[in-house]
Amino acid sequence: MKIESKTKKIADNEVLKYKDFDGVLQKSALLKAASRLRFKWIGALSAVLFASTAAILYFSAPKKMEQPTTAQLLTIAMITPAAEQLTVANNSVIETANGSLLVIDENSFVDQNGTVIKGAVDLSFKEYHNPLDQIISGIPMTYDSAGVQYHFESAGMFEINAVDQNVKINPDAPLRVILNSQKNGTHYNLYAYNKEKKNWDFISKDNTPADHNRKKALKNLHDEFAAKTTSAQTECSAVQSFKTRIERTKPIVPKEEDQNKFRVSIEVDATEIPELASFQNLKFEVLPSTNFDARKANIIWDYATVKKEKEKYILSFFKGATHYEVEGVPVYGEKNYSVEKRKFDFGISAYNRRMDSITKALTEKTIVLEAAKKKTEEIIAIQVKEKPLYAVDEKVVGDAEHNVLRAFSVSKFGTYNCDCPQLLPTEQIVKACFKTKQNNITLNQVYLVERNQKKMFTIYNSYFKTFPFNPKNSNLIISVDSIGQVYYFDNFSDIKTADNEYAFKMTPVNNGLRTVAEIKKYFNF
Amino acid sequence: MQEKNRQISLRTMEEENELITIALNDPRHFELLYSRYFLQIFKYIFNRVRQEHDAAALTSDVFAKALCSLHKYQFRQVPFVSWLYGIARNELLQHFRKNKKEVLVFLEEDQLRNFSEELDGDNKEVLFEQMKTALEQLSVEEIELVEMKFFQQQSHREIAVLLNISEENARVRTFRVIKKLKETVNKMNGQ
Repeated sequence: MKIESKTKKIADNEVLKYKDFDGVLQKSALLKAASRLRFKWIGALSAVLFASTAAILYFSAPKKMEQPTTAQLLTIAMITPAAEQLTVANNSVIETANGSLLVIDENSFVDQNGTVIKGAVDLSFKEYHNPLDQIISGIPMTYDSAGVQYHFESAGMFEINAVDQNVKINPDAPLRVILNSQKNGTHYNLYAYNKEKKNWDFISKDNTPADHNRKKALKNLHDEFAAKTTSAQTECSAVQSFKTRIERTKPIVPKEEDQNKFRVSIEVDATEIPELASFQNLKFEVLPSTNFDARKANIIWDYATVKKEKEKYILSFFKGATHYEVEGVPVYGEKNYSVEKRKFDFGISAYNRRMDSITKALTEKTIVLEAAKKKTEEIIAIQVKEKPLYAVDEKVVGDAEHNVLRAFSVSKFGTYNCDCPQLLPTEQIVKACFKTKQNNITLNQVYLVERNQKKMFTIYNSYFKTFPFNPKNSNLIISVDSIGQVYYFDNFSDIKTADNEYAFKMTPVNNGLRTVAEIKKYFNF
Repeated sequence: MQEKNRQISLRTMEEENELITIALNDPRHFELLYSRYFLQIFKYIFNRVRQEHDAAALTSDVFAKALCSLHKYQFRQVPFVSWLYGIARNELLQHFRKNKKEVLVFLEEDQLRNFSEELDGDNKEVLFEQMKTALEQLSVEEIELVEMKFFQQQSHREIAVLLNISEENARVRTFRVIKKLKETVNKMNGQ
């Protein structure tokens, strides 16, 4: 156990703003409804139930005490899978348990003041890939547009939230969520759930190409970051090379000449020794060394040059075939010294400013380079891990065959969906009532699932008189009554084409299903 | 050590019990108890989770669950809040288990300083950091005991109800934890 003591106290008035007795009453009512469920496993999984209850309240948040809705009761009755907890660092590519990818940039997260968060951030991420997932999510899967209600045929939905409510997504550096969709096709749109309006907001058409399978998508992503790495590498090299060039122009501190030492005036080549380019009336004072010979001072030389070798100034004197070299340092005569000192002060200040700006640019470009490199490596790691999924001829095999990676740009936390709005089926319509073997049952709404199409329709009781379905599909009806008993019906072959009325004989689900996998198997998903 | 600020008379406890009986028929009457203990339970939870929204959700869950299970409540001459602490404790354990997070205990620094000074009355040199280290070496159950006894100032009887043990057992366990803490601190000081 870890003890933390340097904590800020929370003020009473801060706490009291969370006081909500109506919310407690409502939760309690939901719990009581849930406790009446005949699922024996409910009690053993009270933790999940509580999480589900919280999720329901999150999405519905009504203020008055009221009866739980069908969606809420179903969410309680069935186990809602827990969200995946992801700790994400800046500049990373994270793969979720379901194979979706999150691409995080350097500045993707900010706090409430808009300050970029540099450390890792904890996220919760939950994916929904088939109608059953969506039914038990409790999230409305209908879409109202211009007064017409559509039903979503989903190619995948996800919820992304920060564990710490103070963490926000930086709208200037949105996350890229690349959903491992289990449905191909190019007829989908992207939507974001609007909690205030309780409806979905259209974002854009999903432009994922039809052949954008997982392998191809990962390769594209790899190529994108590999190209960024190359480009960033080129820019870094260019800035580094410029920096090296500028470093050579750093002015040196002028030294006043010593009247007792040998000095010589030599013209300096500014391209060879740029640090001395700005100085005039420069002399070089000869340093005492093993090969210095004072008598050489009396020779009238044909010409002299100065070059820089290993940070030393080498003075060379030439006369005919004679060549003499000695080391020297640049100095200034007394009358020139103060002028040159001022030039140095000005020059060094300009140099430092220039170097600061170059160093800053280099640091920024190095960060971009490292980020691109890191992301490339992370994508390679994902690709390597997935290699067994691909056959020798590079075709995708196994479950990934139909998977398509669909990209969302996410600039705020919430629920996102890749969907195609559908109208209710029209192939056959009956006047429906629902009963068990013995009794009629009252249902507020039912879910009609087309298992083969992975489509789901929410049918409210006002539509029961004209209950629509397509008899050619593998249909399934799921619903729950007011005390939380779940029912299903899938014997559609019994319904004759000529039937105008039909009593759906619902089968109660009470065989002690324990996991989502079991529930899916039970309903043949 | 702080003065005990949570002394609740037997009369108040009985009055609480009456309120519970009424709330069993009409849940709205539970609001008085909710208002009385909301702050206390919220802070207890907040000191573990440190996220206001998480604390709010868990506190709400605690009271909803309490209201739902009110018929199971038995008056054992301890304040009703002891029962609430028990539910809160379970909710927290589930929360940490579900989120696979390490159990954290957040103790206010001044409380911890007071506690260090009181426990080590003869040795004023014991440092606050030493006490923190010593506390970290305790098990989850032991640290809970310290927290209940010294930071929430619960009586041995309340602790006993909460942990479903006898009052005497609660007293003995508390004594042993304090002894263990002192020994750890002494070891750190080379005594």
